[in-house]
Amino acid sequence: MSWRSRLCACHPCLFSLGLLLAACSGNAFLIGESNTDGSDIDGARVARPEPEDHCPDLAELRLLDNTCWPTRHVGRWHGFATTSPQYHHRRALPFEYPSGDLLLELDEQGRATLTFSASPEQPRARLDDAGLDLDAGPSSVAADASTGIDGGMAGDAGAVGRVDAGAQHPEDAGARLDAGVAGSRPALGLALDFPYRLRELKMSGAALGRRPTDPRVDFSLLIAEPWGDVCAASLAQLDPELAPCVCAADVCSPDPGLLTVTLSLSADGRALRGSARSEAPEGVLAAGWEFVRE
Amino acid sequence: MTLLQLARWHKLGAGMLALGVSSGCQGDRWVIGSPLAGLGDAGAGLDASTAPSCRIPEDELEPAPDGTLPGADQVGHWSALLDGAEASNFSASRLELTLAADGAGQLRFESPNAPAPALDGARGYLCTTPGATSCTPPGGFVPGFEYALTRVSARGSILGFRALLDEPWGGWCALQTPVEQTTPGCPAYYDIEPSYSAASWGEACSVLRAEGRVAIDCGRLATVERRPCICTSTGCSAARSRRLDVYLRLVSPGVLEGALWFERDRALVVQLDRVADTQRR
Repeated sequence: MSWRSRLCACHPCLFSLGLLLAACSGNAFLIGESNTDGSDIDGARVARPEPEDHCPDLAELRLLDNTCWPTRHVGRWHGFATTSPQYHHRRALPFEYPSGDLLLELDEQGRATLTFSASPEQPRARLDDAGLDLDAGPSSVAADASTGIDGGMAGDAGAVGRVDAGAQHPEDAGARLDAGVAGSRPALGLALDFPYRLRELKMSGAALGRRPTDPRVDFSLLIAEPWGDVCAASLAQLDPELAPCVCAADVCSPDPGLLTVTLSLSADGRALRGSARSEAPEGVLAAGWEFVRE
Repeated sequence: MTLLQLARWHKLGAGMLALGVSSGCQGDRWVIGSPLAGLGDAGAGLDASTAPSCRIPEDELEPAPDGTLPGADQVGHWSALLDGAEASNFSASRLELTLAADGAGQLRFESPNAPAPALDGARGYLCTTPGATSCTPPGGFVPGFEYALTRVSARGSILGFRALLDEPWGGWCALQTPVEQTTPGCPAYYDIEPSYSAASWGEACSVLRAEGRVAIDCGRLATVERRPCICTSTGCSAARSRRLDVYLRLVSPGVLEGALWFERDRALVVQLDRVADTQRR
């Protein structure tokens, strides 16, 4: 059998090729992206660039281009921690998230904050009622796992101290982990009613050319952010076991522990869902977070 | 490779292409690779050199949810009017939630008619041609069915619960006779229908088994394709793997708010208002 006759014996494959060609939309058999602008330079066909992926991930860069900003994430969102609502901060025992509102605010100027609140239904205590020292400073701190509510904190002048009596720690039934109280002395854990600044705010996830519709938002927050000034100013008074500060030589700064958050927007743009991760030598804790647009 | 070998390979490729084209079509065609045939892994059976993929029993015990029983401010009857772009995926205009102090709860998407109980296990239930997508609206809930909530817990103002989406098929599953299934290298397990390798949909439906083409009620085939049951040697019950975990927060006295994430990127936002007993229908 000659090679020609052998090739002819392969007629089913030619039939299949015919099927493929019939499925094509154009006249030419093109591999890859179709070229719609058909630009030619010196007779050589130049491929049109991919749809422009000019929107950077970082929000602060997106702000410079109104085709990339605002994203659909801009707005006020109310949320809460759902699954595994715990996080690490310095200590081996995890903290529990406050059981009240998480207020996420992203405005059109790129300002972005997250504020943790006590559960409005839970009893609240005024620290100044307890005869504690009041002075200026961040409005609240959270108690730590081993000591329960840290009654030794000083309250913010005029601020209401909050005790968020949330769920008990599974490993320490006596400790209230998300108990936030007003005060200006640094303590471990998330501070209540403090607008945490969102760091490394990024949007991503949409296909090339559709980046303004990015569904995903990533950011982090420094758990000890409220205590930056206090850490720097009160080196001598800090208990290294309880304070969220890291001191070296004559300088103290907030503990670098972060919450790293990834959220994804629902298709209708009305809800966000994702996780908040915190790391410790003991491992990574990932809590579920959900938000609903205000 | 000689030209003859090349031609033979092309011949094989043409056949594979034809098979792929026909198997990818719907309608009165054969659909290759039904769930029962795949045993949870489409690769099983295609590559004899790999280890068999065994069906993993569901209903693995999960730790109890953190939290406490619902508080007095969460216990009661709640109702939400469904609105927004996603509401149409639930074929209902209203969502109703009932929570008791002992953690019992029910969730129901309002419908004029609750689904009739399953009486005939040989036919399908709540599903029709052309397959499992017909069983529920895209939101995954059977309108009018009262889902018994599991894992109800509260953490401060936050309420969580789970709805088992195959629960409406519990009665139908109980009518099924368990069929032992075997896969070489795997432990035996039980299902509601002998395994088949392909399903044909049309006015009459059939499945392809080792012994040949076998007719099957179209509604039953659609129900089987959903895989709503889990069986042991003694009987079948509703599967528990298809589920929705829901979290709501008491945002103000008498108002619960949250979202039902019914797909990875799709959510129905709901705001439930407390309904006084006297206002309940």
